[in-house]
Amino acid sequence: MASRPVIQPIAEYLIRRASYHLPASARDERRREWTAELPVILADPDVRPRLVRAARAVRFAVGTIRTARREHGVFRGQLTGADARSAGVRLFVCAGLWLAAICVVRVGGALHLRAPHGIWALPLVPVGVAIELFAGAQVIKLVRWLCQHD
Amino acid sequence: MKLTGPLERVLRVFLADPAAPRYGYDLMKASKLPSGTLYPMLARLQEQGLVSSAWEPTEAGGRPPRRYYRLTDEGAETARQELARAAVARPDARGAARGSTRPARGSA
Repeated sequence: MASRPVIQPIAEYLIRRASYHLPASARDERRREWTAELPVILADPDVRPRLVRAARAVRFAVGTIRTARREHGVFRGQLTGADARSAGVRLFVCAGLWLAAICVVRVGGALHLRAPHGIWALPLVPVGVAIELFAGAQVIKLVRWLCQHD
Repeated sequence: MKLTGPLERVLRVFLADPAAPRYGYDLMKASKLPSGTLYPMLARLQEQGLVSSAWEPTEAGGRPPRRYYRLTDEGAETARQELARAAVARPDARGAARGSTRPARGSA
């Protein structure tokens, strides 16, 4: 086979991201299945030029994220112990990040350092919201797992 | 089974040659459906026992083995019945009810 197209590792990365949404039991198999389609898409003789094939491969990979979320999103699918453990770890990391942020603000205040304000504080808002949403999703997963294994 | 437009397209592709195994990208091209629609549908059909899947036995041409899907006997029967029912409900699609394998609207 010809050399690996540059876009392939990017599409493979997206598929790996998609597979993280799947339960541990199905993860490896689905990832192998989706990754095996990439060389076919990137070498499809019916699709020209090469750029269109690359776009198709990325679209395919993004679609696998949708597939994984549809089948096993926060509110869907059977959760295993491994899923609950990963949710717990992620929640712990989120809590750690918030604790670290509070410590930085407190220490900064004690040292009379100026906290970021105005335009410099703007990027912190979406980051904070994203962490909150992510933590919320993990809590939902843990509660669902508890309900499923009650 | 609720026969939606995308499901109808996939079933028509399968019924064009029920014995032929089809891989994901092949189905996507033939049905003109994106992967985010096709794969959840295949998973549902598989759960219902209408579609079976198997891995390609060996690597071919230096690429990793692919997973192939095909209609089960029950799946082929159900698909024919559902498409016939849909064709009766839609007079303009009578050709499909007579067993035609003409692709659905917008498909290749």
